[in-house]
Amino acid sequence: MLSIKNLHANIEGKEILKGINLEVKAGEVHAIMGPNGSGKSSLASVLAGRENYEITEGEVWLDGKNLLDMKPEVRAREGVFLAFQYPVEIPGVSNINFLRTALSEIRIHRNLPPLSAKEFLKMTKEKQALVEFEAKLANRSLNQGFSGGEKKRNEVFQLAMLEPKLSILDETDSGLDIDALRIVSNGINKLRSADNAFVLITHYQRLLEYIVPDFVHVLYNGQIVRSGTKELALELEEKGYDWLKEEFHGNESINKI
Amino acid sequence: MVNQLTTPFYNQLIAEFENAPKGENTNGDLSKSRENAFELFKAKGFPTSKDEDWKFTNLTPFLTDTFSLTTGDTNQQEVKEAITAATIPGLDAWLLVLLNGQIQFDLSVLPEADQLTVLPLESVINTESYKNYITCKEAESNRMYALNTAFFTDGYFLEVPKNVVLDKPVQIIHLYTATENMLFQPRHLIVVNESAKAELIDSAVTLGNAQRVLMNSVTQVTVKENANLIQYVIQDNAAEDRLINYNHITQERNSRYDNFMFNLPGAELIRNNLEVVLNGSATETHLLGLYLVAGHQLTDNHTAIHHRFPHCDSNEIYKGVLLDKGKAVFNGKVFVERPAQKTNAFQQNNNLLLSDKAQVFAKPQLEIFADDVKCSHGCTVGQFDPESLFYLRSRGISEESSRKLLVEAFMFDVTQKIENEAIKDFVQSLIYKRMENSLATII
Amino acid sequence: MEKDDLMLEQLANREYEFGFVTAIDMDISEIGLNEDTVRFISAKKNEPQWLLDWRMKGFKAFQKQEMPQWQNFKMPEIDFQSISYYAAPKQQAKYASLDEVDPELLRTFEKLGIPMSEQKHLAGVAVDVVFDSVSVTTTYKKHLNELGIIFCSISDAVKEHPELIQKYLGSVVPHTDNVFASLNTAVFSDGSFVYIPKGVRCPMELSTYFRINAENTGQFERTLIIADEDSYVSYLEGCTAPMRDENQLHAAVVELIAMKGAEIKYSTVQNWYPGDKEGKGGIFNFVTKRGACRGERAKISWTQVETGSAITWKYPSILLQGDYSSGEFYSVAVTNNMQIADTGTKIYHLGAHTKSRIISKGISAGKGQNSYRGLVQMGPKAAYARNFTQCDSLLIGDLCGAHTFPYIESKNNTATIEHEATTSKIGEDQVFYLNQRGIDAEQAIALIVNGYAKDVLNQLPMEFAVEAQKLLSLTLEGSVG
Repeated sequence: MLSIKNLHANIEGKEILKGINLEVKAGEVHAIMGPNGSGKSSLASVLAGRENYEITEGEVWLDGKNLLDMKPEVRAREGVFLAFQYPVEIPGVSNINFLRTALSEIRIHRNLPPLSAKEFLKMTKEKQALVEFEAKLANRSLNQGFSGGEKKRNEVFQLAMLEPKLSILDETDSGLDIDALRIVSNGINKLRSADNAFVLITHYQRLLEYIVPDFVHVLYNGQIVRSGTKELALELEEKGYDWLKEEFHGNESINKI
Repeated sequence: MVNQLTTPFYNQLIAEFENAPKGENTNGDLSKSRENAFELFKAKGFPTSKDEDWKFTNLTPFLTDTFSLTTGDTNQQEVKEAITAATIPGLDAWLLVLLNGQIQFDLSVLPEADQLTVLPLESVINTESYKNYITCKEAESNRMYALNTAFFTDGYFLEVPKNVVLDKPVQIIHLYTATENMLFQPRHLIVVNESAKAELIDSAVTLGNAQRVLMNSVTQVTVKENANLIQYVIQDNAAEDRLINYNHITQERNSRYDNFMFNLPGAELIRNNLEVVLNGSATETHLLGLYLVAGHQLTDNHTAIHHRFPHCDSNEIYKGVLLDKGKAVFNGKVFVERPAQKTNAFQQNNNLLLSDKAQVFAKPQLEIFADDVKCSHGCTVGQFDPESLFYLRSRGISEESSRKLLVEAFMFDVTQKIENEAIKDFVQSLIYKRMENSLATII
Repeated sequence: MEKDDLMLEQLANREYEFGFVTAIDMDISEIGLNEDTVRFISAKKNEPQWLLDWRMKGFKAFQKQEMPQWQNFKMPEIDFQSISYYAAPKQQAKYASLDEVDPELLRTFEKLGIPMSEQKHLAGVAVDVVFDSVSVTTTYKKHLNELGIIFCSISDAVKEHPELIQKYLGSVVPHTDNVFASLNTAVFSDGSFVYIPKGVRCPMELSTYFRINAENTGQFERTLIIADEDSYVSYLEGCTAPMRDENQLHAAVVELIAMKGAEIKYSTVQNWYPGDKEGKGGIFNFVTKRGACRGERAKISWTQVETGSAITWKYPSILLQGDYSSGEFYSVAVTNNMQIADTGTKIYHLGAHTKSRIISKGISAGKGQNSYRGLVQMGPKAAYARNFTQCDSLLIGDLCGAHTFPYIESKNNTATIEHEATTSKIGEDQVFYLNQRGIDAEQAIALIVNGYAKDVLNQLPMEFAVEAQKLLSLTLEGSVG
């Protein structure tokens, strides 16, 4: 589904991704871990098309289409969903009105007939129940005055509504207490299918106890330096990142000689 | 309305200037700017309430007397007592004393010249470098500024050398003698050079037997790159005083300027213009004011901040407590010009009306021509929150103490910013002393 | 940054939708202004002597007045002698039914989207249409008559209800009020008149559409609404004009009078021609609007959506005279290209326990300049009066400006005033967030702007809220690539 080849990206002239390679197939869940500043959120931003990143090298393909050629909204309509680390507040724009606009754009793009108001409401109710999202929040202004946890749950609710192919969750677990984490994870598990895929960006192994990944990757200094199964996550939890850093820098210094 | 062009005082001023000996001992540029300023004043006269900037402050009743421009004799004993009275208890500070605008070195206690240069303004006005300070673009049409420019003779020049961090604040005590009605028009100049830091406290005392004093003073300040200046102005004057001040501050790159303005009951008229020009990026400006207005007092604070470069922050909080028949005017202008992206400008003005005869006129004003800015202002006029008052009283605090506590809380936003404890205590005690009588009479 | 540039460019390229001219035979007065012009207009309308006398007083006051000086922009010279002060469709504007109306005129109204024919989707709105200077038709007249409601043109009201007109015309905005009000007094051509009797709740929205069609004409309509004790009325006005290279002048006067317990809700969707993107042409919209809450518990509420005009200068005001009376002002003003909007409100709290609320939302794009200029005054008798003001500015692009000039005056220590103002720009992160959900940037901006203006749009009657929302989106159409 997603194929990233030798992806390099700069922000304000500074190279932040230094050759990422990643293959994600339908039905898979990938976890990307790594210390602060390793490029995890940058990778998410680049995939979603944030414009302050400059792609200097490499390719990204989504089901055979060149993702990097697309504007952010087209990527979204093609099925890329980014759950933001810091969801923005937009005063006065109601959650529901916003979702309706988004959904209708996506359906037009996918050549699907528009939903009637009734169908839309029905779907809203179903998805709210599915991800345990409170109805009163759905009617409020987009993320305005939401607590951190409510914002994250709103991201998952939107994910449920927009039915993307590829979901990238950028530290959706950060700042959640254990109950909220359980609710968010349950929601995501219910949304998993053979046709979609998830990329979980996280600091903490604890998320992976709730959403079991097929693969775990370690991102460091703009590159994936290790890949493995969920055992890798346990290993990281135990040892931290320092040993990886040493190993990596060790290799680097060897290369220099 | 009285036509300001025909009052005896106006005629007196015109005659004084036109009959004065010309061009003596002054540099050409200064003579010229004096001429221009005089022409402006002659043509337009004193401001009237038709001028937007004087809409709520009608000067006319304050200009009906005539005022002398030459000072009389001073009683030396009175001078000594005044200095003692104005000295801030517990404050370890240098002292600069001026009498009728002239520096009194024998009464002053100043640091070594390599730490601080203090000179009579007269001694620098003929120098080349002074030319930069003669004209003040933002005040071009300000008639009171023009009047000062035309006539000023005395004042101080104060310069902090590069990289000098003054070890102690400097308290500047201005003494004025008024054995008859007097007009004083001093002019002061402050330069804080690169990476220097200073703290100045201004206070004024009028001597003599309670004659009317009209003060029209101008202070020009330059805070150079990376320098830091804190100015405290304590206006605790006698009832006969009428104060009109124009303060112009230029800040260069990375500099910081803090101004604390304390207006206390007393002077029947206080009009302050505080104009800050941000002439470089990444500056920081704090304008903090407390006005306590009582009796028949009219207290008017006009501030203006000109953002002209990116990444500058300005923060302004003016709080007023109005008693008796006091009248307060607040006008806070913030201009954000096109290049001044990433500006943060915050302004807050709160007024507590504690008497049914008091009045307040506020005009916070934002003019913004850049888009990537965060600007806000807030303004409130009102009373004590009855709930808070009740809460305090229900805890056994007397009504009067409760009010005092609430006034203290109201002023906290400003007082908490005074880092110097001695100054903070002094100002707070002044406020309470002045307020005590009035507070007791509030229903 | 590039995105912003493109957005601005496209924003600036937006065209005015209502810029067509209607080819109708017009009866136009000679260009210029003198006492004869005033007599000509009065004679054309067969007015009684007292009205002519009043017009003359207005004209004399106009001659003595000067243009206002408070603006922070350069005001172009207005040549009052190059304007024609009266223009009317030649065909006599008295119709028994809509079928008799000039079909060209009807097509104009159709283009404007006005619900002229009674079966149209806006059924339930009674419309008075002022075309250039003359009131063309009023629908629903009969139904309203049965309730004792008078809704007609000012000209008809002068003939049919002279006692009301004589008593109230000029009682809120005197003929000496300001230069434009004086001018209007001298040359006002027509406008709407509404009277709601005691205890009557007007069952439908009353509405007027104004259109300037003829060249070199000004429009000077006059609206007078009187809501008698315990009555209620909601009134809407909309306006458009053709595209012309010259500036045209619109100097209307609106007077509202709310008696004890009465409520008047006055909504405006102003979409006069704003001029082209270089600032050529467009309407000068200098309007005096004022309402008086004369009795206890009276309420007046102004809602305005200002998207048109080259220069707008208007401050719908409220005099809160009756105790416990209240006033509201809700405004959205959008300026784009070279447009200037200088608008706000003046609220005079005279009575005790009076309340007011001001919500102003300015949106500046292109080189547009938007100013909020307002006054909240607490008089000595305004015990326990309260005001809350929120005025926000939104900037799109770095060539526009947003300004706030609030005057806050209190002479009563039990009164409370709260004023807040903020300035912000549309955040790139907000646009990106919406993009990421599949919404393109243009729609994203429309959503954000409408969300930003929601507090005000919510005040409009349903049908007009939709229209206003469309208009806002249209104003910012093509805003992002």
